Amino acid sequence: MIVLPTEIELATTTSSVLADTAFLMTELDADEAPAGPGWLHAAVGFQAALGGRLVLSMQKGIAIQAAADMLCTEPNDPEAGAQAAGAVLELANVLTSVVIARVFGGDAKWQFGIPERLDECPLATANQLSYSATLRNDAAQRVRVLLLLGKGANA
Amino acid sequence: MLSVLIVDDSFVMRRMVARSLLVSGVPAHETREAANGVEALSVVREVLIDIVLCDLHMPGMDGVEFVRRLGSDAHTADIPVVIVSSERSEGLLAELEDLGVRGFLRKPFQPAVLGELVRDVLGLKGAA
Repeated sequence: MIVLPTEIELATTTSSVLADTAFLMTELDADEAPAGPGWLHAAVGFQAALGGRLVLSMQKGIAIQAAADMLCTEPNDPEAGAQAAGAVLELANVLTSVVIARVFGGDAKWQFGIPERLDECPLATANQLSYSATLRNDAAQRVRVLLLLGKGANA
Repeated sequence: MLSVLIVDDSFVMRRMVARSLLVSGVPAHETREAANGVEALSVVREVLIDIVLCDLHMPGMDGVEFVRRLGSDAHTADIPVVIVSSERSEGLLAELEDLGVRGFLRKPFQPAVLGELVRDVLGLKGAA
């Protein structure tokens, strides 16, 4: 059985993964953030009962903070800046596995791909179901998660 | 000194795993890193490795193929492998168990849990 997520469920799941993997504290942001310049994007395609794609977008500041936390260094360490995109890729990878397990169930069969960097956040087409949530940390830096399901979503 | 091979295409995750081994009190060890199965096979053929901590989804050669090839070589078949992955497919986990994988840890993980699993697989229970 497919259980489609609400915005709050998607936000809660994302917040939990960010906390457990990168020690980031975030909460649901009522404002839908347009992920434009200054954001880093990572996508993971998957195939289950429905094809799909999860896109994680993070403002560069919070992505650097995530990399610093994951590398046990400080945000002003050049390595944290250099690995910010890598941190977003890994967080997208972990988040995808958690989200698809919740959507399709723990017993379902699925496959998911290797995370890839995107230059911009994709838009849903008319054939796709789209679910998104925006989170923010206490410095008002934002994270956006977009789940696309349906035809062409994992292309 | 223990020799631990960390196999993951993510540099950030390799460092996280290495850091987790340190903070979880795994006895004196050195870590080596590989970004995929091809690199990992090269390492295990050149260096004595006590345990491999391996991701599954990697470009080049993934974790399943790496485990299969490791087990098919008499020189490396006894090296214990623990999978550290975000994979949640029960079918794939069963396949890995059949291939002789000794442990499985899902990302995200707590450092202490990784340390306990490594000590358990290496028969170092109580050693910290």
